[in-house]
Amino acid sequence: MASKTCGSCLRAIQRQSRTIPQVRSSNVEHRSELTLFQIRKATFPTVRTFATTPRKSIELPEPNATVASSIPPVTPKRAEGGTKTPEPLSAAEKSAHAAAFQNRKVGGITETYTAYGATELLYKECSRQADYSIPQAKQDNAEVPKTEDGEDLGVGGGWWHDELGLKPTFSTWSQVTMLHIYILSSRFRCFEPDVCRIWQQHLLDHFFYDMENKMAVSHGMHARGTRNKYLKDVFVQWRGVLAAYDEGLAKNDAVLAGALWRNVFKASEDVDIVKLAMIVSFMRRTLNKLDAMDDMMIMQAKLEFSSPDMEKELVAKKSKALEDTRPTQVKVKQGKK
Amino acid sequence: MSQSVVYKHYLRALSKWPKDALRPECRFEDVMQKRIERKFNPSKNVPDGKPAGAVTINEKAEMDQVNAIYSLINNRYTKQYPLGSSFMKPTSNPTHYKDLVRELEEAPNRSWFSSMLNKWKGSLRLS
Repeated sequence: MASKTCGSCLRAIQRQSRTIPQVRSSNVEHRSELTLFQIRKATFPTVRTFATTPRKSIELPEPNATVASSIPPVTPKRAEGGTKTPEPLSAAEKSAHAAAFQNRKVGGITETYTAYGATELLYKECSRQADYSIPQAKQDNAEVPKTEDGEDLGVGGGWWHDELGLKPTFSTWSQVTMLHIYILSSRFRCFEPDVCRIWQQHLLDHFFYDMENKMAVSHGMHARGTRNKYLKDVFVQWRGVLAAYDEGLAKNDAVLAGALWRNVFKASEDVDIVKLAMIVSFMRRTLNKLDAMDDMMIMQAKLEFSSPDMEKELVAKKSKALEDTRPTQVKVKQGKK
Repeated sequence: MSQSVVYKHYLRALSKWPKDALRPECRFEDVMQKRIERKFNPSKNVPDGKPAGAVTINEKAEMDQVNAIYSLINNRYTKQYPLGSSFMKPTSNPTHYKDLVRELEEAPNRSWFSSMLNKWKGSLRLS
């Protein structure tokens, strides 16, 4: 997870801190300490200064912190003195950059760095679809409204909340985001095996980092254990979503609709089947369009999802089966099965 | 109201919904069946003799729902937006979807022992 420092970094810090001389009052001892330090410096010529904070003093964002992403930005601001502002890139420079990116060699050692930045942008596009916020989280001692099932209820807009009628909660957001991440992830499956693994892993990592951030900032879960418990649950959900939607793609529309019904609508009896069909259509159209796109276009992360609203007409088209008015041979199922 | 056209269409459409062996406790067709019984035959499901309120059934809205069910069973969206072999046989793992479907079909019929064996085999990755 985001807040752990790796073991080798910790050992390096501990080794380095042992070589820093202790300042003592006596001159003699001071001199011998210095000599010792010089000897140590000779044996460890590559003493590096680390800026990493040791594990114990990592701070979580304050309860009143802004909901900033916990992911460090890909292009951080340069910490320069003075009032120099970086000049914006000219059009020629921009097209040169784009051309260089287009002609880059996919794969290799630096693929993971390219993938990290690009998947951050792609992930942000996925997560903004059903984004929500909890204004009470920033206020002291404000009561967060709950849904009937006891979940924190936030505020949010977009097609998924307004027209589909889903409540702006963490679970809605995570399910809708998982749907969009699934779409991208299955497109990544068409890359080369080693490239595919890197891109899928980074996309998923961004999602989990952001989820943990939301839990800590918007839902007041300051205990790492509680957050980890929910993250494990969501991981199991993600694996289920992967298998279910893959099954739906491989089989037929009805199976995909069933998978969506179980996951996004939580198997509710009052699902609007027209909207369900619109989401199926949206998934298939998006995948069809992504399949037609070049790999490089996707790696540049200049993608925007459309809305399932565009599928209204296709779903509303009258099926031929409705004109078939032969008497049905079906018996009504008696009782609960 | 059980003789209405919409109700009959519902029954026919739901009978054609694909059966799911892997998730028997959570079936779309069963839950929808309960819903239409509740809407179209409210008197049947009232055990304690309360007078069943006249449930106004919006014929047009229900027709749209049935139309959506038919469109799903007839694979309208797969036909409109087909996915070619570049997608269904992805470069990173050409047999991905085939293996998955086979695994999902075999899973409900496995004994406890063979599913444990399968789990242990899966945790060993030789590549």
